[in-house]
Amino acid sequence: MKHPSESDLALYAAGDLSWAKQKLTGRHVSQCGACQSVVVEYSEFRPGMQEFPKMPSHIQWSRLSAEMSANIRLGLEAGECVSPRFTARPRIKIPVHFGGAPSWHRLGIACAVLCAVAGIAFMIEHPPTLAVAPVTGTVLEASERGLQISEGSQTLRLLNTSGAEVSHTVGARGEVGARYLDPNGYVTVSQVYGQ
Amino acid sequence: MASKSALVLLAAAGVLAAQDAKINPYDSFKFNLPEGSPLSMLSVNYENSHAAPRGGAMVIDLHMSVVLRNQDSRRVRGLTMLISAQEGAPGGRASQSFPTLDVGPNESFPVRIDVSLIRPLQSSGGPLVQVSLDGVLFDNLSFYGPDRLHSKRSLTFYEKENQRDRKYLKQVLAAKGPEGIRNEMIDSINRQSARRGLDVQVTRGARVTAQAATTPDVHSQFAFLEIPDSPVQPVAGWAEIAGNEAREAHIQVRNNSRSTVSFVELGWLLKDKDGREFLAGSVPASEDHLYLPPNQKGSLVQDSALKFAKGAASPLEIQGMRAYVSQVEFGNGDVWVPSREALVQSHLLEIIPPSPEEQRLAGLYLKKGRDAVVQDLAH
Repeated sequence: MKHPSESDLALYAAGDLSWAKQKLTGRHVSQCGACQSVVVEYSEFRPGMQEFPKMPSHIQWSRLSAEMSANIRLGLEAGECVSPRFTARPRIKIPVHFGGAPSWHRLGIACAVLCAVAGIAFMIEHPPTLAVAPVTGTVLEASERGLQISEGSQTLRLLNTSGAEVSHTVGARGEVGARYLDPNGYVTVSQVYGQ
Repeated sequence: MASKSALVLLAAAGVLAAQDAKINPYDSFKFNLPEGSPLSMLSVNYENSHAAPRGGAMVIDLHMSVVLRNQDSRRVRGLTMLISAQEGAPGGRASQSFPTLDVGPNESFPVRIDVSLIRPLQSSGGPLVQVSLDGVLFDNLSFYGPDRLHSKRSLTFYEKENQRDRKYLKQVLAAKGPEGIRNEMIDSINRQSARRGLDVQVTRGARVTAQAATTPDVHSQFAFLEIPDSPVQPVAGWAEIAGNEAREAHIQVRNNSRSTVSFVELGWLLKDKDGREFLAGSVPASEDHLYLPPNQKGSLVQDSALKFAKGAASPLEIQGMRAYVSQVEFGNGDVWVPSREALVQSHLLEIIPPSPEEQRLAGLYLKKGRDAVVQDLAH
């Protein structure tokens, strides 16, 4: 399911979208809990919009948005695990015995499950970015997660934790920048420099 | 035997638990403010900073939230912090700037810095990340700081753009009232949503990908956008294009003004095979040695390789390039940026990011509505 952008949800909350887009977004919001929450958060600032119950005022919408995105990804991963080709098989139980004969194949299964969970966690933490061929020298990269400067196996990354939309800038002199609105309402410009 | 397997499980759990450990942020972060700084630190918070080994490397997430106070009699309009890693990226530096501040004397404001470091497991002691002040811009465009990153110039350009767009929006408010501001904010938000972002990789003096190395280079000419009141005019330019990679931009410019020019930057637009245009980046004057007297020509030469993609695994096939003069600094320190009218006439307003001030006001509109923006513009 493709979600409307955050700014579209904010404009929807204020009734600022075009007629057709308002209807389209409204249909999505009525069926999507995550987007409903974002709309509610924006609506709190607008006295005219009270369609949904209020949320606690201390919640930061951008952090909430980032958490929800992570939860959605986690949900998708979990959905993969319970897809029909898996559920058709008998459920695997992993009892831990403290008596009787050791069960090395069960220990193997436990390790495999641990590795899978760690793998999923790693994928959530590090979503795929550009496919990169081996490069020598300093490489600067910009993506939604932030800016990165790497040389060999060493990396410095400036993280964009705001969850806000980011616009990138690139200087041909060898610098990459990201500009976004932070939760305090200030525009923040992050930059990494090749030299 | 059973106790052995239980021990193995416990040991494995122990290893997993040990992999995500809290670090001592006071040893890992160093925040430096020079003596006599117009800013002082009121408080610092390192919540959620942690370290975890991954393979043969250590991944360190450092999160710092600082509250600074303006001790000067002037209002602070911009700030740049220099961030350097002890071992994270040799030769590399990073910075964080805040170009929309408006902090009066004795007022305080929060600054947040989030850094992730990947470095070898075995390394020497000392702080992992050092954060220091590079510069502060005041409301009268005076500057304080060591300026290692040329923050004076970049913050001054931001401030000029901010003043331009704030003046424009005040004119709209005066002419069309709050409803005019509402329309301007909605237009701005829609432009920001519609603007196509690019993922970018940059290397200096080398090709970014092996694929580009096997694709024949195309010697591609720049087309130039005329900005009516620009003091500098681009004359000719080209770059090497290979697939989604652009390298070695050369642009010749002429100083049409009566003053010596000390810095020029050109915005660089790329067109894909569907005719859509993207802001790829900028071509600044080579280092900082440009000296362009009136009516003289000079060259901007850059040896970086830039690789572009529209999201993950979707490379941008470059079909054409345009450039326009985006920033000029004169020998006396004055700066020039394109007027709002020039941006509208050239349709650049739809392609390039808004000024930081317009972005801030659009964010204010989204969160608090029209009246908050009107109130902000009123003072």
